Amino acid sequence: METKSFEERMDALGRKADAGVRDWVRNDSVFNWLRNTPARILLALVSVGVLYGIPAAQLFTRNMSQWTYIGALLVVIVLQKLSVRFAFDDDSEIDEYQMKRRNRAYRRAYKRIGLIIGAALALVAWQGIYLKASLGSGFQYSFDLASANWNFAFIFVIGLFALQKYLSWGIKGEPMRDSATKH
Amino acid sequence: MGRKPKHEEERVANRIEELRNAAGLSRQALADKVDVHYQTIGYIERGEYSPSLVLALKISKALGQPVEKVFSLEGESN
Repeated sequence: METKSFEERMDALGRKADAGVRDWVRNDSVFNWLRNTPARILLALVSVGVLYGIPAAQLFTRNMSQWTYIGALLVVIVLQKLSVRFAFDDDSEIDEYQMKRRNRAYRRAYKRIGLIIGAALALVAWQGIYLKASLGSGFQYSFDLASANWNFAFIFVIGLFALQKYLSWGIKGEPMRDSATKH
Repeated sequence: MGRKPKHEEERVANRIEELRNAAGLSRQALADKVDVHYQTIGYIERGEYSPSLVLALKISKALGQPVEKVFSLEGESN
């Protein structure tokens, strides 16, 4: 009998916690500064800058830290999650409009990742053809990248898959002045 | 064949804002009644998003009106 009562209390506590999380995700206004259109544009630019800029800098300077890259990616991913109210994390928290927008973002991201990988492969092929034409040594890549560069490449791929869905969400944010008509 | 381009899709007109104000409901209050985010009510009111049949029926019920009084195809009057 006592066990049942304990279970009931735990169930009630769980339901209360779920409702609290749901309410926070849907109605949080603390992070609204991340959710309007100008903020989304800025966040998209920063995300692209981090995702592509740090490995590009590594290519030229060879002195970037992979931990800096990981840390910067984690920060922009968390900001992106807050910006779209965790729409990609839990179906139960989002309504049908957000679900439609999320599904569109997944479709776009799938296509764009395909294009980015296709473009990278085309670049490799072009370099191979170019090298063969000019040096007679096409497609002879030794892939002798230093391990640090491989780490950057792996982090880039993980970052690309983690961020592309947020970049494909679109720049349209929540209206800045909507709080005036909210209540 | 296939879906119409977005600009050719039939849009759904609605009187949510008018009926909501008449009922003294805020967007947030209506959103809570039909279990969506309040921004979604804004998108529907502005015609930027056409709700599912289930959501349209829920909104109509929350506003105390038959669905045909709240929603119509754009260009048709109720």
